Amino acid sequence: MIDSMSRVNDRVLDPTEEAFVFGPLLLAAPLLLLLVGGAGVAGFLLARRVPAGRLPLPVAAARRRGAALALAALAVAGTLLVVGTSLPQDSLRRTQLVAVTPLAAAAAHALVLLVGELTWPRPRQRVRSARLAVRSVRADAPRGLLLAYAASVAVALLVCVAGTLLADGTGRAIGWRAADGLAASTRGPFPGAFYAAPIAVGVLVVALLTAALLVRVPHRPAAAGADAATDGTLRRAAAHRVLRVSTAATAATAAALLVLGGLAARGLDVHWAVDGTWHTDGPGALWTTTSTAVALAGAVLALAALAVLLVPARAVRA
Amino acid sequence: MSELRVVVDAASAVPVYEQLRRQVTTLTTTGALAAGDRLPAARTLAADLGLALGTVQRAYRELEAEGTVVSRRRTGTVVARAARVEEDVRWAAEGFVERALSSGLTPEQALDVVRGALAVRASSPPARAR
Repeated sequence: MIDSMSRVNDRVLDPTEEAFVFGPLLLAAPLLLLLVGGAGVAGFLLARRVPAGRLPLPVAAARRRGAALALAALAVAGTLLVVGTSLPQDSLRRTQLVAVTPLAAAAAHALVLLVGELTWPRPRQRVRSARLAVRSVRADAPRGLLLAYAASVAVALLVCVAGTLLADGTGRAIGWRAADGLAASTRGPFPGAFYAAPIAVGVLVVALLTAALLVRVPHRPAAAGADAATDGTLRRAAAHRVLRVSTAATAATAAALLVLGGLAARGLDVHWAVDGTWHTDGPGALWTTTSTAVALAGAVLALAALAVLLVPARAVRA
Repeated sequence: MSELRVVVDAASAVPVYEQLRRQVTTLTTTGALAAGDRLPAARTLAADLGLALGTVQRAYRELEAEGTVVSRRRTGTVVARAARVEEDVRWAAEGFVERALSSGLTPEQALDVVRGALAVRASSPPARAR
């Protein structure tokens, strides 16, 4: 017989290993896909873009300002993402930082756009006109993206809650122990409170900034001379930009948690040998199947997050 | 409704809130705005016109005081009543405007002619029906 110690299957990565898992998973492959897809979408949009000379001057100026703001926000978010994930990750605090970096980048992105919306130029002419049109968040935000964002926030928060409830005392691993207490295993990284708490805060901060921008968009001054359709398109584009990045960051974070949580939970089986025969014990087939499904769902969600990032806003027509 | 516009002249002697009030009243009188139609939020209109929020709020307050609009907590500012203008009166007005402008009058002078006619009407006793 073997003693109970040999039936313990602890596999909790040390901080450096955890960061190694988090960093590339969140960045390398997605960034490559994003760059290729983004270049394709950008080329397609530029080819179909209505030249500024065919638009009324204020409309062209508003479109230019919107595009410049979008670029500035993306530059800030991209820089934050690269810096946050490239720092030497030699402590658990650093791994937490890596985990919240996509959300921090999305928050910075939303903040830059919000400042741009709040400083949108006011009309200065002597004679000014305005349409007597009622504008609202519902009318000025793309409905599909709005629903996708709400869903991604709900999924991310649910994963955080579920991870917190399932994790062991460390908050960054999941454990299992046989009924007889002789076999036990622990796996990590797992999205317990250690990761879930800062991520949940990040999700809520991004949601707050996104909501502030969505509320601001209908109330910013209209581009002088723009008809209802053009004005609506400019506003929807502004709402689209923030929703696109906030949805992608939130969904990507939830996806990473699902993949890591699923993989950790899937590996809780304990194997041991007695007299040359291998024995296996663990949480059961249903648990393993569910964990695998969760990890796969996370992978699908990660792809969806990337796809959202590449959805272009409706363009202004001449 | 979506293409109705208000125009303000920031350099006019007429206060901007009064310009807004008159135009909204005119739109309800002519039927362009019907009872139940919503007006934009004061904040939205102030942003579009580059005005202080208080200016638009004052115009809305005046409109509410004269019964043209009502403010509701959930739906915002809504047209309360719109005058029913008979079709033939509208045609007569359009015919008059056409004639006045083709004779060389400015819009303001054309309005003066109408005001003058109304003043004469107000000072003379109403005609009896036979």
